[in-house]
Amino acid sequence: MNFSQPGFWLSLLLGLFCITLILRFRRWALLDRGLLALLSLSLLGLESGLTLGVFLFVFGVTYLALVRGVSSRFSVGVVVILQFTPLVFYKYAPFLSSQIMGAVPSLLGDLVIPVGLSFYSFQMVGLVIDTVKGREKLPSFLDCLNFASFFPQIVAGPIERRSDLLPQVRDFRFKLDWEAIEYGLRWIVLGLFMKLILAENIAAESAAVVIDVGNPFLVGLECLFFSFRIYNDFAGYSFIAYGLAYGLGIKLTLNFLSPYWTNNFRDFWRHWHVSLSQWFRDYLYIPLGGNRSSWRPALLLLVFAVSGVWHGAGWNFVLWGLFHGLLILLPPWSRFGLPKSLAWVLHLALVALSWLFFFERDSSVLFEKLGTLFNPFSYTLVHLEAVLAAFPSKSALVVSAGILGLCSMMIALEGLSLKKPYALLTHRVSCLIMIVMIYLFQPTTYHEFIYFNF
Amino acid sequence: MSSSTLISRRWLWAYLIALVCSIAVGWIYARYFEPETRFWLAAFQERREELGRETAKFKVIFTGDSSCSFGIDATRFTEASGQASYNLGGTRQMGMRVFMDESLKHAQRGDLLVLIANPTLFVSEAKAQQRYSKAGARMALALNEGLKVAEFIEATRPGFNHLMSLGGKFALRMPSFRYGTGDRRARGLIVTSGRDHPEPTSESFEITGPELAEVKEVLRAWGKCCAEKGVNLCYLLPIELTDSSLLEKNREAKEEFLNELEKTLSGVRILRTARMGCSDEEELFADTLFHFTQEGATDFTERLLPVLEEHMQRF
Repeated sequence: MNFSQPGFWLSLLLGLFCITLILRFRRWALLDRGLLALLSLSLLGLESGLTLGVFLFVFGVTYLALVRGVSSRFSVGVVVILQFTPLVFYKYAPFLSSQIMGAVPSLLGDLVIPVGLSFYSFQMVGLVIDTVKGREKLPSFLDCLNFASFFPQIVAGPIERRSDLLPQVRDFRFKLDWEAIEYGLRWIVLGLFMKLILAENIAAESAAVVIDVGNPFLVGLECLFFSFRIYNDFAGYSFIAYGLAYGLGIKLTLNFLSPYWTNNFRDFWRHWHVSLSQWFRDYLYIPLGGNRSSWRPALLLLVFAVSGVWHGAGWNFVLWGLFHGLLILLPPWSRFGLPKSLAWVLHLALVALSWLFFFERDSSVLFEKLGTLFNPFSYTLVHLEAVLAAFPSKSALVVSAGILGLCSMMIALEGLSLKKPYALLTHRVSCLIMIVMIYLFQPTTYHEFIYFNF
Repeated sequence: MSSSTLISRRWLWAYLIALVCSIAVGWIYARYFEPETRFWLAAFQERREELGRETAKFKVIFTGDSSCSFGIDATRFTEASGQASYNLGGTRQMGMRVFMDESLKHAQRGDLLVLIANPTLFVSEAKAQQRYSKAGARMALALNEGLKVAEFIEATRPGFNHLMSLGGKFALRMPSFRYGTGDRRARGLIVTSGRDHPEPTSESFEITGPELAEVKEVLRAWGKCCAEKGVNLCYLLPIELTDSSLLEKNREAKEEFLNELEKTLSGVRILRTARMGCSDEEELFADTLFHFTQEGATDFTERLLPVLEEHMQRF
């Protein structure tokens, strides 16, 4: 279920066309919800049989647990372990075996993580905990299935809460709401623009730059490229999901709220991958003691280390999580007497630096690059001049400058409407301009959504 | 219907119109303004006109990637052999489909078609027999050939990289494409005054296993198309500027590669020249490892002449 591929949109349109035909003859609420579930499962099944199979396993465990009315901490714990079993197996088994046995067995080496596994596993764990903890009413099978499989968000979030999504899928009806469709389309266009034009072009251009690990300017440039790429890639996906759901009459959580306009890490995590941050806060941080715990700093580090592990099986992800955890523990920049604009620049530089832990999976190269960045003597004029030579051609330099300029302009436009995030970018006129640009500017190369691997 | 619904519907129409306008702009750009396509379109049209005036019963048509365009001096070939000949070479980016369409359009029963292309072009190109590459689709669009919807969309989307590079060239007052009208010669030869002094390749030649199978598949498909039209097909390895230390090794590898092709392909004749696809004579090369200077092209053509004459006698 890849939103940037025409195949997805053709399948979706075909599915919606069939649903329209069916609903012309019969109309009752149960049918609408049944068809929504069928559409979601069909789109998931088109990915692969394994993807659908693993989803049905996790869903089966979840629904059975709810029907059997699990209530004790122990039984909930067992259910959560079962829900996470496929995730642990597909995502962490190769890494764990390499750490324990020193090599990845050939059987595990070829494992492909089923699409969306991390996201729907977390969402279903949340559903069980919320239902048990809040003594909520057992949702019907169809509502539970729609909650777990709702196609716009199943692959890469947002990770929705029971109280937000379940009532909406319960009341779901297919209807032709032109206003919702038009508003949703604006988010879809923004998402496609961010993914296909910004993230794809950055990926293509940055891949051509030869990075010398001893050159701090080039390592910095690499971090800058990745900062823009991951934001546009993931936020782009989330906005398409948001727009698709909106068009169907369901309001999802806005997973990104102009995160690069924050100026401390605490705020950053309130604006970046919002639903994941909330999940960790509500299901891990608070149950372990939260702000009232005397071990608060250690707890924060633990939660961020787990968050790092969620992103990927590798020590670099653990370090990335810990790095963010440490920076959250820092007092606000204002306490150091820094002006707001300088604090913002410093914060952005640290965010960009943190991405180095994220994309550099070879730990020896990672530490070499960190050494370069923190070595004041590596900032020489020779290295600065070498930046130009790292580009394969003058034209590649111009194109890279152009795409970085375009990304910066988009961030600047976000900054003009911070009170209502992305209001300017989802304006109708912006949408018109972006449609033209998407058609004319999309590169021929294609890279998977980064978060598909999580 | 409420006024806000009406406004939303109007905007949906506006988005659709914006999309249609983008497609139109992309089409106009690809068809009339894209610099590389413009250059090759003019070259193809010129060749078509020359071929249209041709009255000879037998023709030798050279086709392939830019090693052919910059390598075969068909005027010299015609003078020396007395046989009508044309160079219909294009560029690697156009892909095999364009070469095949264009050459088979002009080749008639009994004609000799010589395919000169770097074999790496055939790798992963097996399916390209049925579809156009991006540059190939643009070329086909400019030549008014039929395109599938996906090919049309690809052809009419220039991309950010392309438009930015073009903008950069425009700002720096550089030519929009490295070759110009003055580089086109009679009978299809392209000659460039640019001498970038390319570094000779230091890579060993190796096409084996699945890659070799793909090369065979492509050549077999060509052989089949030519056989259906009664055209004789030959394949010739282009000459690559090679580091002296690798010359013998790569020649041996290329000979082995050609032997392997000869053993298993029936509809394609394999040609060999003494250089066996490698040369270290830097003065014969212009701006890339496969692009000859005018002198290099004449030399290559003259050396090819006896090889081809020998083959022609067999027809």
